[in-house]
Parts: sequence; structure tokens; C-alpha cells
Amino acid sequence: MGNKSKFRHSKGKNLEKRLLIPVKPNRKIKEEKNETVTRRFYLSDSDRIIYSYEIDQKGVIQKVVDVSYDININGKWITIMRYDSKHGFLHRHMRVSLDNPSDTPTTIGVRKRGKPHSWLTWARKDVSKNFLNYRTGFFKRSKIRDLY
Amino acid sequence: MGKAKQLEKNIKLSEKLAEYIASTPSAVKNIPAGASFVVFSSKDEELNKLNSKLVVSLKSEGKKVVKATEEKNKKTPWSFSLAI
Repeated sequence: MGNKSKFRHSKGKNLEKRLLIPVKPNRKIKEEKNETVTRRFYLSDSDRIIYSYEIDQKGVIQKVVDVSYDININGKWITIMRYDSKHGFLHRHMRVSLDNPSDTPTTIGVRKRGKPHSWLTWARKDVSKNFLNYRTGFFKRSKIRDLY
Repeated sequence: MGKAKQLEKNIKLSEKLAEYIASTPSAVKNIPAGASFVVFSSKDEELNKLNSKLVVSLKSEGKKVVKATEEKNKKTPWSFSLAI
């Protein structure tokens, strides 16, 4: 029992090591790496929207990395809300306030069906439609007056 | 034109541009990675003046800025140029 062979058994017989042929691939298998595409759109000197997504070799969107709305306060860009699909589904992160950088992830009111491509379109449209509400909410939570 | 109006107009144009870029990625293949887009309208001169100032301020921060101009041509609805 103690001297058990480490090699493949064939029809109950032990094969000797010298008879075994090592299996090696003829060529290196290329790992397909996704590419991250980032686009920044400046709306004013203190507002911008960033779209970032991963595409595969065929150009198909595989992941929403970031769809965010940023504002510039005192020369510093702050993301007040963003979408990503890090865990395989789309969710929204809202920054608590200016003093509190932590965010609250949620899927409430966020598109659940579909694929990364449709999530990106949905998130983009949501930011375009609701950025003023997100902005107002952030300023209220931060207890500062919005100039817009 | 106030900042809120500029913002509202720019977000509409940016949405159009983003849709175009997503559907025609080859249109921006020569644009450097990490460039910042500023949109220009085909008809709103007032907005374009404000956005020109925006380009200048972004460039002064050392950013690579791409001017995306809305065209009346349906086949090529946007033209791109690197702000120098």
C-alpha cells in the first residue's frame, strides 16, 4: 500500500515514468486581455462626466468600470455619484457628503436586466437626466449652498 | 447664458456625442487615450464662446483637450480636433 505509483494506470498496470510523454502545448496560449476605454466630457469648469468601460478583443463591452458625475469644489474633483458593474450587476454609489467620502451602494431603481452594453447606455442616460438631482442632494447632505 | 444653462446644453450634446462614439468607435481611434472632450454646437454661438473659455482653462491645467464639433452632416455628425 505504501509504495503506490504516482503515474497513470492503464488496464490495471503501472506505467513507468520513462514511458510517459510530457504534455506541453506547442505554442503559448495567449491570454485575452480586455481593454479599458475612458472618456471624459467636461460640461463646465466645475462639472464633468466620465464613462469608463472594458471591451474585449471583438470590441464588445464586457464591464461598466465607471459612469460618474464629478464636481469641482475648491480646485478638487469629487465624484458625487457613480455606476459600476464590478460584481456582475449594475449598481449606483452615492457619496455621503463633502466631509464624508464613503459611499452608499444601491441597486434600487437601477436596471437589473440586460448586458454590460445596455447597462452602460442606461447609466449614461440616467446621469444625463438626473445629474441636477444628484447634485442638489449632495449639496443638501453636505449642508452647503449650491450656486446653480 | 448662466452656468446652469451651459451645463444643461452641454449635457444634451455630450449625451449625443457619447452615443455616437459608442456606436462608431472608429471615429475616435486616433484620439489620445485619456483626452478630455469639450462639445461645440453647430448653431449655438453663445454656448461655443463659453466652451472655448472652458477649453483654455482645461489646457492651462495641462489636460489634452479634444474639441468635438457637432456637424450638420448626417453621415459624419461630429468632427474632432485636438485643441492646440
